[in-house]
Amino acid sequence: MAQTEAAKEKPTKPDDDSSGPDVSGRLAKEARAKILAGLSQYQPAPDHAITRQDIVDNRYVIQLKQPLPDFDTPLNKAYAVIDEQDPDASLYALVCVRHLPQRITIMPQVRNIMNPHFVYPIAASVAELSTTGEQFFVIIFPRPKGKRLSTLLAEKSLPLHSSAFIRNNIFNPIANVLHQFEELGLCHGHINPENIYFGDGKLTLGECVSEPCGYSQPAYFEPLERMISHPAGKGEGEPSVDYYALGILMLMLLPGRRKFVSTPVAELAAVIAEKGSFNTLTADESIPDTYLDIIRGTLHDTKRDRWTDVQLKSWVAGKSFSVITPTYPIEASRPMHFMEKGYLNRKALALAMSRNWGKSTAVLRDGSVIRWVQLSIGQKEIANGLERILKSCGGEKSTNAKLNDELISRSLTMLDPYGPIRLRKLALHVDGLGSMLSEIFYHGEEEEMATMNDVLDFDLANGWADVLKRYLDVLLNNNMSNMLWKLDRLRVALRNHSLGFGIERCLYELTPYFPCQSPLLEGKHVTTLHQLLIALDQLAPRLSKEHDPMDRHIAAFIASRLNLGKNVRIQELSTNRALASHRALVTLKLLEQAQQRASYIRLPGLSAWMAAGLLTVIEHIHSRTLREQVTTHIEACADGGQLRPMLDIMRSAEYVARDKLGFDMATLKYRQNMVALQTLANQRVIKTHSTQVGNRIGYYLSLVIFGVTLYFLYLSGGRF
Amino acid sequence: MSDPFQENTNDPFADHPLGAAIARAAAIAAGIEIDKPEEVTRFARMFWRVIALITSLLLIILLQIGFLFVVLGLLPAFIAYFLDNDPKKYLFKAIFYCNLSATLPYLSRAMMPDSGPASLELAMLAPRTWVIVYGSAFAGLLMVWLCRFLAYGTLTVTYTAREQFLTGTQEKLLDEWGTLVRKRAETEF
Repeated sequence: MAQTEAAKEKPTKPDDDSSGPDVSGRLAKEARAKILAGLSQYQPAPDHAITRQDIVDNRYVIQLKQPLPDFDTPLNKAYAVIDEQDPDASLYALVCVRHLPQRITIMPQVRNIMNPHFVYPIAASVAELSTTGEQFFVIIFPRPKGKRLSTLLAEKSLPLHSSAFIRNNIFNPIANVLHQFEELGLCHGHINPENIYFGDGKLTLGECVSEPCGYSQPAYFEPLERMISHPAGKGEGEPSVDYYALGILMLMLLPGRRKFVSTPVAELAAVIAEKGSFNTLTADESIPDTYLDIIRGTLHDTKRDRWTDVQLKSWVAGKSFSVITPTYPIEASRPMHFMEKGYLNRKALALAMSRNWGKSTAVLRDGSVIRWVQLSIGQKEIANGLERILKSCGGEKSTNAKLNDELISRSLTMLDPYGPIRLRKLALHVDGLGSMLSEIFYHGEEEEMATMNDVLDFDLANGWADVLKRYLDVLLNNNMSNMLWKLDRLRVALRNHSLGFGIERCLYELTPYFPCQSPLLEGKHVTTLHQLLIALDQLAPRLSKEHDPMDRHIAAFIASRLNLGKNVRIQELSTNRALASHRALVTLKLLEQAQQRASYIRLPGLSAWMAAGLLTVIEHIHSRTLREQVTTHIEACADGGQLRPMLDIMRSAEYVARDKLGFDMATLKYRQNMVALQTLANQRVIKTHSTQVGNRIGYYLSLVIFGVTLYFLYLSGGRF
Repeated sequence: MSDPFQENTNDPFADHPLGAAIARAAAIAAGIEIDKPEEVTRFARMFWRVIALITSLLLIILLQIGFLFVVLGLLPAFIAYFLDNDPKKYLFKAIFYCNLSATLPYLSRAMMPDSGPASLELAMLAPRTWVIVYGSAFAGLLMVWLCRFLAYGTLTVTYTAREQFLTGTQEKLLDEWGTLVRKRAETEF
């Protein structure tokens, strides 16, 4: 998508045919050629943030020639690392992909866990790799000993028949780590045999910060509400998610067929929604009594009933709980028939409806679902809520496609409030919006992009929060409240298609540490304005001939970092609408504000690149003399490294006013001269005029003759 | 370089002495009435008619036969008056004054005490008198034609110079302000 957007970005031409005579065009071309020639000689200063290639935190040297496939994740590649200050340390580096955000916000907390049974991040920074010269975010971890648990399970080399081994060597260390996660209110999100290492009798739980929470987690390790979400839209999750995964891990360790591993996710989710997790996942399996309690407890579908650290500790200590086998989650006295199948709980119906999107409209519009909720389930409030949604989405007879989509989505949230927000083929949690957007931008699917646009535009997140507050008395935490407030604000930004706004702005607002995805910055990992400006300055000699230093991603990135709320316009030029919102001037203003925020770092490459781009704006000035003056000024500022002087020249209202007044006067004068020339070319006019003049001269001459006659009459005494 | 923002005027003819005359000629050529209001014209016409009547009565009393001579002698001028459509009637005036210049000497001679009206009667009988009187009127007409011809020649030269000046100004405007000036001038007014 990023590339598609970039393709749309073409150099802006003047809005009207205001091109001046050839002389001026030549002048601009000559000035541009001169600036670009100077720019091609420019040697950008090296990025001081990256002093050496393949190094993290000025200490950890990535050994690119020693890949460690055992520590690869489905997304990221692992390499050996040498710690320059402690060469004996056994470490590895994960080189993270640029198109998905890492869990940078939780990294400081996770770093403090420092549990010997957990691969916690030691250091992380952007590093330039010598193999490709590209920049990546790299995280350094202590290298766990042994092999992946999945490998050991396949090799059947672990004494899994021993409950003491499972309890002490596998379960206890993981529970220990999860206890620390729970204390921090965090979710690991990646507990599965692929991310657990075992060696020398010691278990180590793998890392969890290199990708969005649960992105690579197999679906069957997730509770239903996350299982049915898009991997990138699962959100941060809660500690209870990890306990569920722990329960699944337990099942994996026990002998049995584990049919659920090979069951398609959609099918598995449908059965879980109908029968509950425990009943589905343990069907036809014999679970040893020793593990029945913990599996029943951790696989509980209701979060508040699911086991946590407290029960786990007691279980590890040997306490027996006698947990009752969960029953089927039946809510209704009579089934709701949909797509030739009967459903006895709202969650299962919601899942079925989301899988048959187009068919759901009918049962929602004709009130069947409302009646079922009211009469069969006895939830009058929910039924009223569904009725309100129906009315707000066009009532029973509406056929508007967008309203249909909104109706289905809001109704599904009402039916299954803990489930993800669902819209057409998309299912995601509110706190997973940012990573979901980044995934969609990476894949560039227009349909998904449009759906995401609608998720934000319909304000489904606030609708979901409203359902939780109103019907379930759930208090949202601060992070979620901030997120909802931000989403409310972003709806305005989303509808604004100017530079710095739109869906791209949503991406950077929702993922604060996400690198700029502009195709211009390919190979660069840019997360701050300072880095962006340095990167553009370095790219100037290579890209200035064919590209603007701005696209929708860069604009949105800058606007997000500057927290801009209004369209970027040159207010001083408001009398000239074309100039006030001219792309090149908006670009200049955005970059100037970024440079201001970055303490006016000197950027000779970028200023020359910008100057060359600004010459297109000059075509909007009508007066050749003014064009020459402005061109000269811009040329003078081109290699100064500061954008402010250029902006000051361009936003000087005086020249715009002079140009406008002069142009109006010139037009009037031209018109008058045109009329005068037409008059002069008319032969009838010259004839009429010469007749008038001739008559008058003849008249004056006759007066002279008459006067002479009178004079002579006087002299002759009347006898002439 | 001259300042492009200083050059302006609302009247395309204001900067040229012939401007008003050209404008008037253009208006007349286009058939646009630029005369005085009709009421003023009617009053003036009435006024002059009354004056002519009183003058005629006075001349009949004073000149007697001489009045007949005046009427016959100034016949070309009277014809010119009715033929001249120009509101200012310069053609008529020119013929009138030339005609009068030839008529007056005969009248003045007749008014001498020693000559008397008899001399005028003799003059009226002589064809030479009428040749002189009517010839002067014709000479007035010829003189006006000649002046028109000369004026045509002079104005053609002046118009050409003016045209060149305006064309130059247009080129300068295009050079300074671009072709959009022409497009806008052609479409927006």
